[in-house]
Amino acid sequence: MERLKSYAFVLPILLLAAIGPSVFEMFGLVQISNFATMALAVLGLAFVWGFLGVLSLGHAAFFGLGAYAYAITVINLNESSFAVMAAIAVPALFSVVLGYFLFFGRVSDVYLGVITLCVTLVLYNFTSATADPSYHIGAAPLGGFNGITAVPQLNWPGDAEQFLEVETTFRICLIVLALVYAALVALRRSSVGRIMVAVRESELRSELLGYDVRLYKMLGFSVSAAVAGLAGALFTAVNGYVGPSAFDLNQASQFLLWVIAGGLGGLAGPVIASFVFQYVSTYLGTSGVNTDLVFGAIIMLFVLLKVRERVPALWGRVLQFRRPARRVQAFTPSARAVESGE
Amino acid sequence: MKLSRRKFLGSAAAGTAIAAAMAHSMPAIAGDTVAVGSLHDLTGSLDAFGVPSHMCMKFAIEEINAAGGLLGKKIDLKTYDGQSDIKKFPQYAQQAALNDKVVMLQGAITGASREATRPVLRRYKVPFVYGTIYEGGLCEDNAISVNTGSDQQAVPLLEWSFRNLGKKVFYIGADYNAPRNIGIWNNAIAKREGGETVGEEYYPLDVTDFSTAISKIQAAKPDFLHSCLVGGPHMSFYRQWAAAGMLKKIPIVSVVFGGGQEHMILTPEESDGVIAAYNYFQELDTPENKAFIKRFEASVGADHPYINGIAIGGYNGPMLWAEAVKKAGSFDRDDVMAALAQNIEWTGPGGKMILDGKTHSTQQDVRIIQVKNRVWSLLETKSQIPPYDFNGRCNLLENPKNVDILNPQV
Amino acid sequence: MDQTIVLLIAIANNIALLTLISLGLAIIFGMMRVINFAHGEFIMLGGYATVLSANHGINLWIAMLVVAPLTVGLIGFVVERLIIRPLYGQIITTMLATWGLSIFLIGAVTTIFGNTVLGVSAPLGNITIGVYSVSIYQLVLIAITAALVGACLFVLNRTRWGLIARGTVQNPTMASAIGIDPTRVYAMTFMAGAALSGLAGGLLAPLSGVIPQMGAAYIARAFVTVISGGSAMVIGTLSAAGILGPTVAILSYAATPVIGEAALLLLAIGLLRVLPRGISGLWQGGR
Repeated sequence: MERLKSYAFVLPILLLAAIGPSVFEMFGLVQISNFATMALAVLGLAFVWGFLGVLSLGHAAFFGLGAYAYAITVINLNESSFAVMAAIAVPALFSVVLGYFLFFGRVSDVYLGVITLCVTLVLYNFTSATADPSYHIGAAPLGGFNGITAVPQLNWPGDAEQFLEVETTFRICLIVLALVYAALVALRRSSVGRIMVAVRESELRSELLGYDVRLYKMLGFSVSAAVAGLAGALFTAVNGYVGPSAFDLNQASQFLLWVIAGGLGGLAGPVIASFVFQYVSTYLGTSGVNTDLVFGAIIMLFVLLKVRERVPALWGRVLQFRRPARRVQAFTPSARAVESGE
Repeated sequence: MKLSRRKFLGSAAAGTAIAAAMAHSMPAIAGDTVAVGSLHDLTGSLDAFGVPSHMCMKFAIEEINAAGGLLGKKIDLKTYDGQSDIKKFPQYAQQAALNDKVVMLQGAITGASREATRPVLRRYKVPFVYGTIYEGGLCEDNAISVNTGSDQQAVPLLEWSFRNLGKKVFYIGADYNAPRNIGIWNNAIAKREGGETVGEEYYPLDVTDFSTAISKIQAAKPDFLHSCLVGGPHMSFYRQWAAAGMLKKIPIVSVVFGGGQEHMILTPEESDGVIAAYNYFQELDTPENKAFIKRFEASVGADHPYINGIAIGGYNGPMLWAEAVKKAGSFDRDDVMAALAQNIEWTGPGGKMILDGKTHSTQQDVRIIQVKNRVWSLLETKSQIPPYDFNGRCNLLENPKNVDILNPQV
Repeated sequence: MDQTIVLLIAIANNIALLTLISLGLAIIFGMMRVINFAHGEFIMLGGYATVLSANHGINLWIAMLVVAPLTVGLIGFVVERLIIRPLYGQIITTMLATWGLSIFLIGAVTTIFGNTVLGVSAPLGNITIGVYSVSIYQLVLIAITAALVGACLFVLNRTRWGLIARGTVQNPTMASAIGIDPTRVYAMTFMAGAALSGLAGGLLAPLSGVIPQMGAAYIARAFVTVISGGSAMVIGTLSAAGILGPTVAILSYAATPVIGEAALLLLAIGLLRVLPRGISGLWQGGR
């Protein structure tokens, strides 16, 4: 029963997927699909940072690589299923290379964070500089700062002309979100997951117990990259567009801050935080106020009124038996701090 | 109060659903109003471009409504703040089309936001009016471009420069699509006028230190500098250029200077003498413009951002579109675009404008202007420069299916 | 010969620029391990303070050297009290709060002053070196930055305050055991870091476009420089700037600026891979 409780968050998502098309109009469905793809991306970061203790400031790199991989593949092959697979594979492969560079070089803590930040900024600079039409991969021009536009939507696997309707895409985005959430929870509860938590808790002890810390970090890193890549593909499919802004500092910061706002160490929290933040930011843009002023004030108030601590504390009581307490934080959370509801 | 997590999530979902339902229950096209969308960057690094454009658009809609509306209906302007975040553009475009059911959307300052927006509007058959100056190349049935393409600005400006300033040009631009395209024009005109490009450099948008650039330019010894630097960080170039004493030595020409209110932010010692080319500038001394400024300031007050050649597109766009609507007698996208086939003529603050059915771009006057003490004055007027048709590649009457951006092959 | 001199000036300029924008962040991060997302906005506020006071008649040098750091130091005091102090120990939550602060500050400045404000030109004119001419103010800026670095080192190593600060960094528990209040030290440090950032903004105002979003161009570079420098606040940052700066300058000159900017990032990646604790990791127990 306690085991099932960990998966409980899946239920509201599936419920939304089921009743959404009857409740929302087309725009609402498109908007939620959009938000869901970002929530999926942030799941990857919540996993690798919260469970494994790897502070990746460049999570946007994997998101962007997946987005570009999807766009380029679907324009060339006209079949979105391969494109989605490419979107998962390319960032995952990249993360293996980068992970080897980082973890086998024993880089950690905030220094690793900065390297990953530099990586995403390099990708940003690179993609921005490809404006000349001679920069293309097959039939897809890279487009430089303008990005790749008119990217085809998802189609029914096997039938390249049959594009999915808005409702179906909506359901797919939410179902994928639920499935990945469940998979990550399952991973957390498996022995591999427990080793990962042990690595976060103390690398030295884990190594002394015989586990190769570097391999586990790389594994977690790749999982987060694959998740982000999948999110990038779905995002591009929903919007029909991808550009260098997928790699920029703003995007990288947003993933980071949704995890913090939702609670480092959890999975459901960051997902909810991403929905709320995205919705508020979009709403403010139509409200006529100065978006920066109001949005910034909301974030500061949110932190200072300790809203974040009150709600997770109560979640914990219901589902994972955490108790709220204030602890000194490090950049990579220790298990004690995490389970105390930070 | 015990608040279980499920209850919290459930009420959050219910709250969102209720809010969404409430938003949808308000009709977008009520009996006697019709909605039009303005999608500009009102905050973020592009706000200096977006705010004046939006202001002009708002004023245009006010004037249309004051004159009795369009086809008997009042126009309800929906405003979206792109927040200088390209990802928001397709989302707001979707919102405008699906939620607010606009019959026209104008906006998108940068090429990137334009490219992100127009496929969405095309998909939902909402006419897209592009009001900004840009590098040229938009050739799509669903879109109309009301401001100058760079061929309309760069060509006359460069011709003038090679004849008046000298034969050697150094080109410096921001590193993205538009300045690179303008670089192609720069080299082409240089060849045509018997000139020479002694240097061509592109700078990422967030570079703030230009000491190496200035050294390179000094070493190359051009007769004039053609600058396509854009944005806040790039304004540092002009500061550093003047600090190195270069402003008095090598003249600067630009098709974008002033568009980001550079002459308002830079001091006279840093901007005096820069030459630009636009269809419009606020000090333009014609009866139409004087009347326009008077009406504009009656509405927004005298303390408003400077209305430059980019911002005026916010005014011209709805006006030209309204002419097309009147000619078509309907708001339907296909009807409106069909009305363009015989060209739409209208005279605005910038002079006579002809919206051309083949290219969906606008023929207009182009003025070469110079700034002194933060005030622009006219050097020369080039009348009625037609939009570039890319050697016949852009002909929407024969080939309405084109959606690609065309690149110059000069 | 002229070209070499000008290139050397460009190199020195790049080092000075990176150091100047990073010092404030280095102090705050080095002392408190706080990642201040609003660092770029402190620089921006310093720029605005200078520009606005100079436009109202205050002498430019006083505006840059006195008004800017004082104003931003004061703002830093308020920020520390209201936002940083309640979140002591929670560095991660502080990141979120300072991010909100940075957005808020941009919005506040835009709302109060509009999105364009008349700037100030660089004083002192220029000198000619062969075919080149260089702004004298730029040279003065390099000198001021060097003096600033020297002053920071002096304060940290030779004054009582510096001793207290270093002690608190090394061992806050011990420091409080001998009667030093770490909270007050942190507060003063945050103010000092903010004032330094404000000073940087003020000094850069005559050479950069002062707009509400100008901070964004500096934050990534500052962050990379500080972390590459490692835990030694001043020497570490200076060393990192000393390696990254010349690379950007030389490559921008020899190749293209795009390559120069990319090189900074790639070099930082390489540096941190080889020295996983930053440059300060080269010597033990840095400052």
